[in-house]
Amino acid sequence: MPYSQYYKKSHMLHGSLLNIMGTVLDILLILDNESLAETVWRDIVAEVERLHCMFNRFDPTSELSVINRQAVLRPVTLNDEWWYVLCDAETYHRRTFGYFDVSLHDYRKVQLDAERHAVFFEEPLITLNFGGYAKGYALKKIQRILLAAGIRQALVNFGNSSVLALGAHPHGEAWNIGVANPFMPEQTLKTYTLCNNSLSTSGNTSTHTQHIINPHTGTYTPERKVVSAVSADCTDSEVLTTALMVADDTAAQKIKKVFPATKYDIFVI
Amino acid sequence: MERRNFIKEIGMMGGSGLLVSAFPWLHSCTLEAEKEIKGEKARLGVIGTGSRGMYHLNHLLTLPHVEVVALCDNYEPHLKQAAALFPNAKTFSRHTDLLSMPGIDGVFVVTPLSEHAHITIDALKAGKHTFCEKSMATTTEDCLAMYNTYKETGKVLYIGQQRLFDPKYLKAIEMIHSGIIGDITGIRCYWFRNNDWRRPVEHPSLERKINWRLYKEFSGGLMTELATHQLQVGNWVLKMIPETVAGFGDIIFWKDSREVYDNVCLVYRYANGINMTYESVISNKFNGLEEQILGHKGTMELEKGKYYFEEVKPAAGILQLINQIEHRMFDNVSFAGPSWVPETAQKYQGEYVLNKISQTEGSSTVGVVDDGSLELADAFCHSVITGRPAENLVEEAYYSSVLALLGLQAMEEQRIIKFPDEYKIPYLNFA
Repeated sequence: MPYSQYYKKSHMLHGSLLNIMGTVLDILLILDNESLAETVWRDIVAEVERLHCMFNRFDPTSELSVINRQAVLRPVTLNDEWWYVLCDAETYHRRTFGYFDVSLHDYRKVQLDAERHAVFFEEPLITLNFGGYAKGYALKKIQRILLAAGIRQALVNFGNSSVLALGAHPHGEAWNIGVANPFMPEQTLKTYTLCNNSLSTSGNTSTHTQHIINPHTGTYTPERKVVSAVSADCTDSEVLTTALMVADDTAAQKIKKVFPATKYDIFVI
Repeated sequence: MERRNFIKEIGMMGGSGLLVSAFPWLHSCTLEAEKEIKGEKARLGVIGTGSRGMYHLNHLLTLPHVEVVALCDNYEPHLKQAAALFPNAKTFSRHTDLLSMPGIDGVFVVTPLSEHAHITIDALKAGKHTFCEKSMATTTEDCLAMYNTYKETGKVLYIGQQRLFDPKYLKAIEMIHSGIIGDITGIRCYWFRNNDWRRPVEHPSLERKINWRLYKEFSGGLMTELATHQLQVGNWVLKMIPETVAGFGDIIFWKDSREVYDNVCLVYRYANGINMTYESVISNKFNGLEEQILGHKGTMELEKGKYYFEEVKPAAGILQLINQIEHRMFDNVSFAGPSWVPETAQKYQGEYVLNKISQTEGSSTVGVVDDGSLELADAFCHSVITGRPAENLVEEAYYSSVLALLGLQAMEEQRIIKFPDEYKIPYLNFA
């Protein structure tokens, strides 16, 4: 159940939603209108819950599950949103030299039919997983809802790994958000000054070492490594951190040139 | 805690101006107030040098603006232990003698409960600013007489409700009032211990003198010694005084010729229908000590300094940001990192209201470190120098003392007691 609390003195709404895309979503938005703030929060909840269903590969009835089951057998016609998302995934696959791959295998084997807006998997092993993309995509949607409501100051935290900062902290020039060392939570690896951009972080934690797969080798990367990226584009930062977790140094240099506007740091712990 | 640290800790609440407007009795804890007493000293007498008296004396020893000039106790061994701590202080066995000693600005009354009222009234009438331990008295008449004397003399009176000075309480109550746990729907207070509440007695003739807490002539037992602290918290949270009380009490385990209940269970009912339950059992300590404030969005545990949301667990960093923005502050917050997933989260343990929380499991029968008692003593000494009473403090203490006694009456008479009009003083809903 969504939680919300409006802090009248600060004109601030805090919204929180648990069990969404496998994590928790928190939003602080500054708006001098309590009822509008609550409406915006409800709109965001509805949108994020919609995306949760859309990208949920654990729910056999989700749109993604249907694609994963049927695209191996025959081309599946997509709605506009899925067509956009799969094309976007293809672009990112190309721009990261194959290190970002929602098929976790070889996205080149995912055929996109531009005429019919259909998808077909040439390879039976393929199953799409948007774990490294969906939260960035959701942040873009949230950003749109916030801006359309005239909100210019907000902080959105999607499970700590994807943070969107709109405008500045009400008493600062920006939102200063630090990345905590997952192995030593008291230690801050770096503090980023965010204003109208997003911070994405990928990495292994002490309890979670097998969740980022190298699509070129098919193996998990168990390194004690954290990658953070800041970009005005919420999916750019999201995709880049996932790719840089598995890319080697040479590949990382090449990827860097393709994303000149995205700043990133690789922390080896 | 040093005043600077105390202010810094609760200064998270947006500076001393806001702090004092929310908690007016903290006026003398501000840094501005510290300047006004620079170089001055409060000359104090301490009446009652038993375990709690020694606890205060050890605090007074650390305060720079205090000089303990007189000590009084009618039990020689206790007086001696205090005199060892303050060898230059004059010693007395009768409080009236101490009160007539020239050069005393203020006194601490740390005697058995039954002695509080007449000594405090004597002290105020003798022109001394007075700190009296809680509860105020053994009867509602005496509580009112103390309050009236305080008002008539215009002297400073403090009652030892240290939670009013405990940073974690101040912070948590401010958060409750800002709405973080939603509408308050219930209050549960309890204090569970497993011990006989006795002190060693050298000779049977001293039994009632040393173990005065166990005898009705001197004490209201669990209600006046423990419940007063916690009932005060309920009123503080709700900004209201309950109108009725009912309950049961008995001696069920410590059948050792004591007269006060070792087991009490009561309900205090507020005008808006909210119930505050109070339980204390001293033959089982499993539940410990707590004041739980139940809201429709969350729960605050004041003694632990922790709160829990009903449905969701916002990231800690978000709560830090809310706190900053609410107090017009700006700082870095470190919460970004690899995705938070439920499997990596431990069982929901709640959030702390302050970074540093000092806790007690409630078994001490004297007092614990960092529970606001030092700040309370410090603030009193400050008021002794300035002569300025602490706003609302006596009122808070008066109602908690009277409510404890009304609870006792309800249990003894086995009936529902309505708050008597003649004992209402102008404060909150009884104004």
